[in-house]
Amino acid sequence: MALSKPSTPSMFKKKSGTSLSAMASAASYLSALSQADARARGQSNGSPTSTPALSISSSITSSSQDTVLHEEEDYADGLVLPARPPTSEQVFNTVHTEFGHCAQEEYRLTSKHTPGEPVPGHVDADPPYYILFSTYISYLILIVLGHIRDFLGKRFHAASYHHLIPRNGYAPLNSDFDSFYTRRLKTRMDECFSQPVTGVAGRTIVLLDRMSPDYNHTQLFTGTRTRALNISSYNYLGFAQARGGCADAVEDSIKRYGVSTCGSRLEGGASDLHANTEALVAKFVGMEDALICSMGFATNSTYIPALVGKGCLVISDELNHASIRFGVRISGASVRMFKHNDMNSLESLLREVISQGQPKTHRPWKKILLLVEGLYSMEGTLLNLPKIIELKKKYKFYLYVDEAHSIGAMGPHGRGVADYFGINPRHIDILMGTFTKSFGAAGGYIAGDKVIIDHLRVHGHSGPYAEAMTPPVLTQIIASMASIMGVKPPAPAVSSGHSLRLTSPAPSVQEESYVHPGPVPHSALPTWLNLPPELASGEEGATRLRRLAFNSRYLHNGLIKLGFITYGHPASPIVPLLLFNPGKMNMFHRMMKDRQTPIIIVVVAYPATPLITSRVRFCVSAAHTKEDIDTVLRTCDEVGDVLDLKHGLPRSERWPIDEITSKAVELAHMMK
Amino acid sequence: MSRSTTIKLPVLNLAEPPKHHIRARGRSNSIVKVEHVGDRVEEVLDRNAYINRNADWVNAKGAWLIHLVLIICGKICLDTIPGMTHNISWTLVNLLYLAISYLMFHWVTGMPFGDNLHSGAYDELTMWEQIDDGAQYTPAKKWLICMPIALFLASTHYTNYNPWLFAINLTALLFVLIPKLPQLHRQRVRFMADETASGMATPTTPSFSSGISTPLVEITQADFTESQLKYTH
Repeated sequence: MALSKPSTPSMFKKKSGTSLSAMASAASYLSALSQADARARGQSNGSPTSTPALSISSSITSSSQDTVLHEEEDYADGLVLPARPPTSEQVFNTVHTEFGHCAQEEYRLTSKHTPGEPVPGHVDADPPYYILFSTYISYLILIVLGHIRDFLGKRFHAASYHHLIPRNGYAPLNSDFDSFYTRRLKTRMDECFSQPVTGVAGRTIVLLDRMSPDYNHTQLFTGTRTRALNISSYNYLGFAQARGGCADAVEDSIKRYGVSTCGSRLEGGASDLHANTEALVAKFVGMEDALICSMGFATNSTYIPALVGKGCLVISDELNHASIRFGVRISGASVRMFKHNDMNSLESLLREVISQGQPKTHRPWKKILLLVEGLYSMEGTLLNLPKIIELKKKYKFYLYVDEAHSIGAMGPHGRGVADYFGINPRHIDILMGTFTKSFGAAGGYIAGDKVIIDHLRVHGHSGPYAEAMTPPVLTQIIASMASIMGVKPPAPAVSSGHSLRLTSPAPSVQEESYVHPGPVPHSALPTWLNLPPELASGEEGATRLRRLAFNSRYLHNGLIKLGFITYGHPASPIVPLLLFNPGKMNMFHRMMKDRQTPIIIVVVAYPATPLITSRVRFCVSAAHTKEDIDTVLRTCDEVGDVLDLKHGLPRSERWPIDEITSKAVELAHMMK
Repeated sequence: MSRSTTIKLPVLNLAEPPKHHIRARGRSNSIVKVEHVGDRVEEVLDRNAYINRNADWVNAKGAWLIHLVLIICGKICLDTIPGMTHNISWTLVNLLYLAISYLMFHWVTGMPFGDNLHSGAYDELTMWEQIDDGAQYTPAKKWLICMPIALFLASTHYTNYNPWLFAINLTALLFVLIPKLPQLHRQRVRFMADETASGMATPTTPSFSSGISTPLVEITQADFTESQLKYTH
């Protein structure tokens, strides 16, 4: 079931760079096809009904530069063609490099919270002491060396420190102390950061290779490109596609509306498409009304000041995102923080602030707003929403949930954390989210009662000052949301009866109402929008949700069974794997990239994380197939053995990798 | 015709150079002064908004034991130097530990990464003042006070209570313990402070310095010579 590779993969085998050149002629295309056929027959699993050669063309739906067969490209990395050739009955209408083909019904799971199961707070994992000591000593050595180099360098090699020393009466542009971490620690690992990429960031992504001649101070392109398995992009439902129903709808909308409405929302840039999308978003999350902002960060930073001000109190989680922090700072409200996801700490903080009131005057607060996130992107922890609703009923504060990562990714219908826990979203005062992660679009929304949203439309900074959301992105939002919700087909036209019956009421116009969560009525969508049938019926959307839930649980539990320390809820599509040591980050990144199937990952280090817990963050997507997750698990297994990263389960309780890949379904259903 | 309502301005004499530099507050006569830092409202708000990763690690697992591990390693390394007696080695371990911990916790201010999350709210606070958001008598601070005391006691014991070494160790210990007192929280001792402020309206702490690396240039009448001024009217 795993990809049968022609040769045993060596960990250090560098994947030769492939150049994406166009096909020379039809003859070369046919010869390449017959070669691929012969190759596939040689590797086939012996199933008589599968016809690999013919099915290759069905797995590559349209000819374009990165999908047409290339003579010189080898398929050993398993990224361009599916591992399991499709049978004649299966028809896939996505490109495998953007959205993986997987027709196995057993690799699906419903993301739903089983009542009674406790929601884990943040659990601090405990590696053995020698790991911690070596981490502290590494940082100490790096800091001491950095300071010595700065000290000596400024005196003996002043030419390279011009920008850090005062000269000619000018103060230095950058403080050398503020940039100490960036210059002395981050530059050493800089090959992990800022990797230039090209093409669709779907299931796979094309990296532009680069090398550095002077220890990462400058990076030069080598000219080659590498296609890597992309387990680092926020693409939860796999809507990052250049081809598909959503992309076609977006092209239609550009022809119809152009690329911009040329104005801000309150000054002429509003259009019917904006109103339509906002109504759809409100239906999607189950609130009365919604508003859309063209930038996700700005949704928080411009609308929180319209909600709270001086004399109000904002209680925020320790690890809230910078946009929330920014908005709260601008608003001038007082802030208190509680320990990450710790409900006892929240309750004691609530009792303290309610009883004490405002700082000097001890008057009661004008408003107390609790700001939390549905899914935390650094830790992968899930909000304990039932307990918070309970506290809300008891202490009567306002609740604002930032569902940037959980909207579209959690819940049986994809409606976010409220859907996941089965809680009526009207219990939450304000729901905020972004379209970047699950919908393949950009921007953010805020949803709530109509009164609040009307106030925010006028008083938020985005309304008069920021540009309105652009129509193509709005259409992408409409198309992807409609695919997830499913569209109720329009009611058949009721012919006016030629007999008036007095006993039964005359057939009135069918009121198409919306029940949350459920399919959206056809009248709510723009009339010119034509979604292909599998998207419009909601079937593909449901499949994506279930694939995502399976993939996330499988990867999470697989890594735990392999012996790694991971953070976060097992149902979250963000899986952080702890590395601890700063030196291992660079090695891990490089070892993952230099494999036969290169895997590109995101490493996160201090100061975005606490000092000792640097980590790798995997972002699972519905576009991944089970074979892709197997590849990731296998690679992590080998790399983890070399780098000594397995400090989770004791050796006796771990599972070997082959057992994990064969028992995938059982593993995914396990509750950690 | 001249109007009786013309305003008569006093004669302005621009010929003399100004006697004093622009100063926000009068010059103080004391050589040593103690002043309070880090109390501006914006700084307080900014500190509350996000956790302080620079000072959080003292509460993490292993952050306490690492002191012991480093001291033991340091002692072993010092003992390998030929010609080292145990008196000198213990004194050196004590002094080096006190010097390095003073440098790290009480000398360096601010955060070594210039991210925008804190926007300079901690720029005037040493790491000791950043630990636990400035709360006193926390477990981490208690440990960090006990470590130098325990090391001092061990070193005096193993140097057989030699009076000279005892005096040296005790002075160093007191020098390091005084900034850890809660009474000195956010106080700075300034010696022969210069009071020049950069401008009349600059919000300043009593002893102003706009930045550690700002060159202090005095601007006098001589800077505005005819050749430097473009417009001579």
